[in-house]
Amino acid sequence: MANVAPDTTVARNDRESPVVVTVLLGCLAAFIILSLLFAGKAAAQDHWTRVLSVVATLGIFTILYRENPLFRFLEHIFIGLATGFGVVYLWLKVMEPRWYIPMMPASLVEGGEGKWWLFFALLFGLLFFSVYFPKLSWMNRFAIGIIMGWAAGYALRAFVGLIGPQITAAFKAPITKYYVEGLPALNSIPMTIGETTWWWHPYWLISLIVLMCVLAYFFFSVEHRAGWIRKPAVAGRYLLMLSLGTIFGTTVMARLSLLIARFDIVIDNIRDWGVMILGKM
Amino acid sequence: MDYLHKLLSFSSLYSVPAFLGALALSAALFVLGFGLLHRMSSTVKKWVTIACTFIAGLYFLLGFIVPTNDKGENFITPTVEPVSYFIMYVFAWTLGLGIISLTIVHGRRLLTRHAGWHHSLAFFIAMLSFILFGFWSQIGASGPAGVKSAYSALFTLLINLDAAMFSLLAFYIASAAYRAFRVRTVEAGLLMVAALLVMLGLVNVGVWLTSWIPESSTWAFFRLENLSVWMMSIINMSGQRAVTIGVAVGALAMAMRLWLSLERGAFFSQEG
Amino acid sequence: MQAFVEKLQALDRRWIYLLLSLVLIVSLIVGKQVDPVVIPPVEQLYKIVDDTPTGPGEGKIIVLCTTFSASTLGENGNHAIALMRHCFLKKKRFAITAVGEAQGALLGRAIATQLAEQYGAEYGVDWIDFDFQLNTLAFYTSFPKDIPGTVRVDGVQGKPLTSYPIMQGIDTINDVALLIDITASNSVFSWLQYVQPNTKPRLKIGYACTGVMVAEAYPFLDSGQLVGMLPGLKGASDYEKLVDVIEEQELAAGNIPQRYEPIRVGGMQLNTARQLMFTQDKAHILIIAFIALGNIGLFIALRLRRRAGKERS
Repeated sequence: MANVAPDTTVARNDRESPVVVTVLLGCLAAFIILSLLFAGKAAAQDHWTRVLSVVATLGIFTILYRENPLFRFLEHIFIGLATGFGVVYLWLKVMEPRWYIPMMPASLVEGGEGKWWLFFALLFGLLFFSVYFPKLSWMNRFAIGIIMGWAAGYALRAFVGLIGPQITAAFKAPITKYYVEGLPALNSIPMTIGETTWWWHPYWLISLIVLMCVLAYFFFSVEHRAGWIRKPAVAGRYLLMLSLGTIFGTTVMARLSLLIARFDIVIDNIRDWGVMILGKM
Repeated sequence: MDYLHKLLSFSSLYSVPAFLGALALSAALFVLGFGLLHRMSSTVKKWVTIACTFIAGLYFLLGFIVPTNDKGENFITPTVEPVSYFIMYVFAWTLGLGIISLTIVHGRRLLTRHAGWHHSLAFFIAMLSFILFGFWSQIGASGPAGVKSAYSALFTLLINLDAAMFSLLAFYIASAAYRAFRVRTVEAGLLMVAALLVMLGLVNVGVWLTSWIPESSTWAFFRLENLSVWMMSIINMSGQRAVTIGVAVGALAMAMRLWLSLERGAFFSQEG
Repeated sequence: MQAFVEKLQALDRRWIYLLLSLVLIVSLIVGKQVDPVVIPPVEQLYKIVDDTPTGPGEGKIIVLCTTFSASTLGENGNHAIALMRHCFLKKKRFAITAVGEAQGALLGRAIATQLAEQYGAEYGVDWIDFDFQLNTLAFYTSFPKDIPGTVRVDGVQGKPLTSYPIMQGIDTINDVALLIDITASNSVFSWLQYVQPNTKPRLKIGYACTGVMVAEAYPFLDSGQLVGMLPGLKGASDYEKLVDVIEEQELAAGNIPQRYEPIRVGGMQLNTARQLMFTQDKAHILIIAFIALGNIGLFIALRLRRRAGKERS
């Protein structure tokens, strides 16, 4: 394909020189030591957080040029931090106050309630870990089965709660005898026939047609051969493309917003440091 | 006798020996029950799993379909909350699966000094230091100032790496816009028209482009900001509604298949 | 000509990255606040927040779910700031909580604390932190029935919720006048599925989502399940414009000491959404230019190839 550029990134090679390894690990050690040393120094801590935000951003952006050891190093640190964060938060905010403390007797843990049966949660939880022992792995399937059954049992309720109002909203009458408050001008057009004024809601009719066409496109219980189903299905495909186009448009907006915010942060910090340095000169 | 009664009625136990005894008894019964089941044939294990899956699903389904009284309660609803909490506590332990998998992958690389071992070392340092400083400082709420400061720095690094990593997507979408968004078919053309309408209508340059159409005129509909809103709230809305309904019906059918253990292949038909 | 067109078609992606970076950087440096046209879903949400009976003595509160991580701070952070500013300016009492996103609890708290300081709001009276909650069925079942019992202690001081003045009379979901999910995930659907159908009158739910989630939220706006929406950065900037008007009025009346000053979270200064929208403008033009260039290049290349094929035959 002539119109596709060759991949400019280099194949991933984790074998680094000892110098690079030493520098990277040294930086990580220095980061932790410096963070400990900045205790109680508000101004230093403030600058330190700014340095971290700039270094993290630029370090991650190095991947845009090519695959490199710094990006991979930061990638692993990110995974490590995210895992640690998950463990700490899950225990301190959920499991300790809601499971561990109520389970333990007050004589062992402050605020304990002695609900010993909560211990079964740990026993059932351990079933998941049988996945690491092939002979016992049926226990993992047993535990997952119960969770899946539980979720499936709730599916009907979720369906009714979420989709019920959608179905009723889809069938709004395109012609009514009353005016609908709060609609834009083109949504309600008055038509007087005889002595009665009818309100014509063209957009509701358009909505219904689009809905039916797109549903026809997804309706595979009938072969799309006969005209009555083929034609709406074809129209449905085109209309769906318009819908997907709007998703693309809003996705572009979303992705760019995040990058803009990132650049903004880097520029702000650099500008502040510049002002600070120039001010001292 | 009193303890036995408390055990059987699931009452709280306040004395330490009774509590520890209850835990030991629970663990023993649990191990015994699953040990016995383990000795059974794979067919028995499979049917026990299928039965338990069905009962778990039936519990919530009954809670929903059995008529309720004036307070909106039936014989199931008062138990839904404690049962849901219990399942949450069970499910929370699955985080351990992720940690064990990561530890196996990175631990192996570190121990064998495989290429990139230093990345694995960085992973462990980051994870363990966050766990250490996180617990020590109770998520930055207490403890020595140095520990709180270290926790704060680690959290800052985490959120900045997170934000930077995610923002990379903008570069890739720009590259895709240039290299992959090719209008070769009518469908692609329609997709592009809608995308352009939305992209322009949402920003001020789009407003400026059609600002020559008076806001109060009949043609105001064709101002880009109005067209994009119309596209999103009429055409897109109906298309998305069809997709949502389709997906929901599919999900419901899938849930029924899982509940009734009709889903074969990857899960229930496995031996062992 | 053909060689040039093919070279352009096979342009190294790094040039595209560089061009995008340059446009964004220059635009951010010279940027200024834009004056956006407010779109209907934003206006709807603004009116509903404004009309909620959540002032002191009115007995109800707003719940703002800050269910986002730092990865979408550029969008959701600005939503949170705009909504909280509105609440502080109009003395609407609110609670924050992050359901299923632990980072969101910390980010939401950092934003609310700094804004409360700027507007002179008091913790426990004007606002409260419900902290992180796991997004499980257990939470969605028990929270509507018993808010203080489910949340138990607040996230700032770790005291029981009932010990705060703001929580007097706030027991169930019926005491929540409006719930706004500020999120990058589909967490709003959990509220729509598990909580809203069981409430009478129907719980009002607003949605402040990232751009990616906008399109699929429209059916729920149309059906009334969602009462308003802030779509991505555009939604944040529109809402900000409306809040800026109130701020000017409050400033003129001497009710607030100063205008809003951009706040900082974890080394990141969050500039106003209206300022960022200036750059968003330019970025959209660039992306449209990329699409156009790519297609024009393809068109020319195809024509040249066809012509070369004809000449050969």
